[in-house]
Amino acid sequence: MTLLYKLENVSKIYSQRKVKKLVLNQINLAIEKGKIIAIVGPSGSGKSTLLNILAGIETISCGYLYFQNQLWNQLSLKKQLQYRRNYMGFVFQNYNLIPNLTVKENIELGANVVKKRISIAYLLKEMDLEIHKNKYPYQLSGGEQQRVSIARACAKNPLILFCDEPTGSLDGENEKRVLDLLKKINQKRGTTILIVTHSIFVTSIADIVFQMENGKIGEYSPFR
Amino acid sequence: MMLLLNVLKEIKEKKLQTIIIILFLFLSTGIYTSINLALDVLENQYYQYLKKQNVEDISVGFSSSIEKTLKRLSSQNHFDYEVKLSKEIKEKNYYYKILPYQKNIRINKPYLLKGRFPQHKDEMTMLPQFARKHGIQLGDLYSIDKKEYKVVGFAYASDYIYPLFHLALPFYEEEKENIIYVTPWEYQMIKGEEEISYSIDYQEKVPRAFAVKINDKGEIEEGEGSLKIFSLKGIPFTLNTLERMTRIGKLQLEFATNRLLASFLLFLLLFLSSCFLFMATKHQLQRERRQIGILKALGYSSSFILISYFVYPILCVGIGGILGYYFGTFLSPFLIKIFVGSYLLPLPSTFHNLVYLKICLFFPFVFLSFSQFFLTLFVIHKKVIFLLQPEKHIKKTFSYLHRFFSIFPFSFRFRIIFTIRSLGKIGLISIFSFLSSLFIIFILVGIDLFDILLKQTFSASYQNIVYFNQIETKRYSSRDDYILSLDTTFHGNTITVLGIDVINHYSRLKDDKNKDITEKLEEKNSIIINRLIKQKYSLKQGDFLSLTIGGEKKYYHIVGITKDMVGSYIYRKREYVNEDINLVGGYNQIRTNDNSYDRLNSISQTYHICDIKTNFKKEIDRFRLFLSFIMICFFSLFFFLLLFITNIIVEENKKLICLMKVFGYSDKKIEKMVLRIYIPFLLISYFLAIPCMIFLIKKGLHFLAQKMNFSFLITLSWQKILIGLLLIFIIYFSVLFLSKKIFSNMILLKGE
Ligand SMILES: Nc1ncnc2c1ncn2[C@@H]1O[C@H](COP(=O)(O)OP(=O)(O)OP(=O)(O)O)[C@@H](O)[C@H]1O
Ligand SMILES: [Mg+2]
Repeated sequence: MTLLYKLENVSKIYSQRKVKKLVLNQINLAIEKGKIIAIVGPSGSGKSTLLNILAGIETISCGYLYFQNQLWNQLSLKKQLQYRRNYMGFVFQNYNLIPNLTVKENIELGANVVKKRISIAYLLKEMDLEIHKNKYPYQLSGGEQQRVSIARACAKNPLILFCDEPTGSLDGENEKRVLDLLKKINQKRGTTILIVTHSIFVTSIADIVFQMENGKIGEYSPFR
Repeated sequence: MMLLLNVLKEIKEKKLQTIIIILFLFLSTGIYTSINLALDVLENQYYQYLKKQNVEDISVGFSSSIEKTLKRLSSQNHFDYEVKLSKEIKEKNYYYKILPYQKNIRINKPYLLKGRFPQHKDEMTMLPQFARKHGIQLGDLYSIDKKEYKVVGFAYASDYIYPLFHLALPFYEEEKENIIYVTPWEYQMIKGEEEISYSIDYQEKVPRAFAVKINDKGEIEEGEGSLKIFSLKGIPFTLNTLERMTRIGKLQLEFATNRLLASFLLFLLLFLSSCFLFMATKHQLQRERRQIGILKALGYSSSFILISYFVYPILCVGIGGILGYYFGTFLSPFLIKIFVGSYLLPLPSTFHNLVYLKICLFFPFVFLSFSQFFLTLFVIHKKVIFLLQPEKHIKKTFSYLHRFFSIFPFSFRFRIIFTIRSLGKIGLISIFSFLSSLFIIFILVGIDLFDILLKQTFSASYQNIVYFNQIETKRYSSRDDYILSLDTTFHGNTITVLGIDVINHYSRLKDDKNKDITEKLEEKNSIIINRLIKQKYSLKQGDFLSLTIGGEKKYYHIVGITKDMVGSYIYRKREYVNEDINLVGGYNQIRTNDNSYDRLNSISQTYHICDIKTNFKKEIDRFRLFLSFIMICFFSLFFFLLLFITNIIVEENKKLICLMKVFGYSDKKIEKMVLRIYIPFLLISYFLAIPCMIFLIKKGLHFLAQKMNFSFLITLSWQKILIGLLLIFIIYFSVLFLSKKIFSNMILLKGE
């Protein structure tokens, strides 16, 4: 059991025109490798901010963030980029597919960034996208688009997969399919998956669920 | 109000783009106004000057027999004529044209700038330019021909608007050349080569043709009926066309070419700014199509939405046009100074011309709103439901291309897709890089045009050319070359026949390949022509020329072409030229390294080759300055164009770039994949520009050869080609560097 992330008293303050806003308030957290972790909480509680901080695309205001026992802030920008390139994959609520690239090319865009990648043909088969491979994003349904997005994120076989509301715009049927896929990836490749969500469904596949409230994080209690 | 706020927001968002559009509008209108205003004023001044000073229409070489005929014809044909005397002397490297001043000069009246004209002996006027260079004030003493004169005024000779003293020294050097008026009595006393000619001035308006054209038979082809007097048989005359044209008409050439340049730049820059606006609007409409759809759904009329898209171009045109107009007006006096710089024309006082303000606003507005209108209309007229849906970027044909390219590696394919998607932008970049390449090639060829000319023409090792007043026969030294030079007319232009000895020291005739072809002159009817004549009259080796050398018209066989490029020269064996005029051993020029000829009384003038070279070098420097100015202008335009387009591309692909950054693509890789797609197009347009420009230069020089007294040889080595390519790539990569700065500062795409 290895520790992937450790957060000690991490805070995030956004200051906009003299108005300062404490979004994350002294968060302490440890994330283990190979788990599916869900973060739930009301809107505006800082979930996305936390995710972005973990993904290294947002900086912290104070506290310590360790990634694989290294202090993230002390890493060079190049090193940070390298970690993000090699270890991290992203899935977004609104898919963010490139409209002028086909499904296959969208996945290639995700794969092309690293040398060691999973074969595109294999991914297409695994995600059940083979018949769509030459289509453009606008020709796909939301669920299909999200599967493409997951395939794109998985193509470089990341250590961690960050998913911000991956099922936010999907109906029940499609949501289930996406979640099954995520679970499968977690089991097959041992990918750590971090999911920010509103959905009760998602918590069912998670190993650990955190609850966020006003910038504070705590254990999830479904009956609150 | 809402509209204006919206536009302000828009400008704030597209700061760089707006600045570039306004900059281009500003430059186009500024350049246009400044050049045209300057030329208007100058042209007006020039023609006023010709009229007020009664400058000659024709200059005719003097011969005693023409006088009577002129007198008889002048009353019939309503023209006035006047005999013109001038002496030329050379002292300490300075060249002086001495003219007698009389109160009652009718034709070519001198123009007084300061002081007064000479009234007593020992007084003179001179050129203010010369005085300034030598620190001479009114009242100072200045000595010529071993005699001191008091400078009482500064004056121009009105028929020397361009002070050409001698075709051997074709460029005006302020510190060396001086035109001096003295009293007629003093004029008589000064020793120097005297030139006598008739100046003819028509009372009715003569078309200010560039030069009088004369056909083979010696008849004037162009011009009004009154000019036909010269076609009357039996009057021996020579028209001093080339010299007159240079002295008086050269400035006209600049009017035409500069106006052309101004209009070309105006429309080129306007075209570019409307392309910019087109791209910016297209991008904006893409982003705002939903907004338009919503406005339409809410019941706003199409025209209301349409108008809101016009506020932006109107604002740009207003700011750019007005600034450009005032900048142009401000700049035009300086331009006039530059234009007049090497001419002797009194400086006019400038005025505003509001016509140009209208042009500055009208043309840009038409150009810009045209593209804006159709583009916006195209989007607005779509159905609301269609506007509210996300745009389908993909056209059917593209999907085949995607399949076709699928065998290539991804990053290559990715670039191809982007290239195809931005064909319009690439077209614009290609056109402009083609134009810039044309200029680069022009500059690379032009930079040593004059150097080659000097090298080709003055490669022989003699230092002086001694001109004699008459044809001499006495030989001084066997080390010098004796040359018999006669003028003749060919197609209405004066050309010089040089009789040279086949065995000589300094006058070897060499062709382009540096092969000695002097011996070919041994043949009786053979002549060798130089490059200028070849270019001017499109002749070639083997052609026959009908020429009158010494009375009789004969056919001569062209057996060779020499490489020298200054002056219209025909070479023939001296012995034969002498035979043509029934002489033996006559000459009137000596090419030598000996300086002792200066003491002889019979010589009229000595020209030093080094003087001629420095005369050309002066022009070389000016020409280089001009070339570097053009280069800087065009390169900055090219730079801004690239910057604008890459900026638009970055803007359009903001989402993609952010996404790629989140995925862990480095900035360098993103730049490579998204922005570095133009290189092949730059290369293609550059290599296409080379033959095109060489062709254009050849055509242009052919045209110039008709008007000027020298021709050029065009060379372009591969080193120069590489330098040009390097220049283009330096600009390209500096733009990429800046753009990379822009997107490396872009905030990473967040989870949304
Ligand atoms: N760049 C920013 N500048 C200023 N404030 C920000 C910025 N990004 C986020 N915030 C603020 O931080 C708070 C937390 O935002 P965050 O996106 O983390 O919420 P969230 O929990 O993901 O909400 P939701 O469930 O609606 O996505 C919000 O109140 C938001 O207004
Ligand atoms: Mg969120």
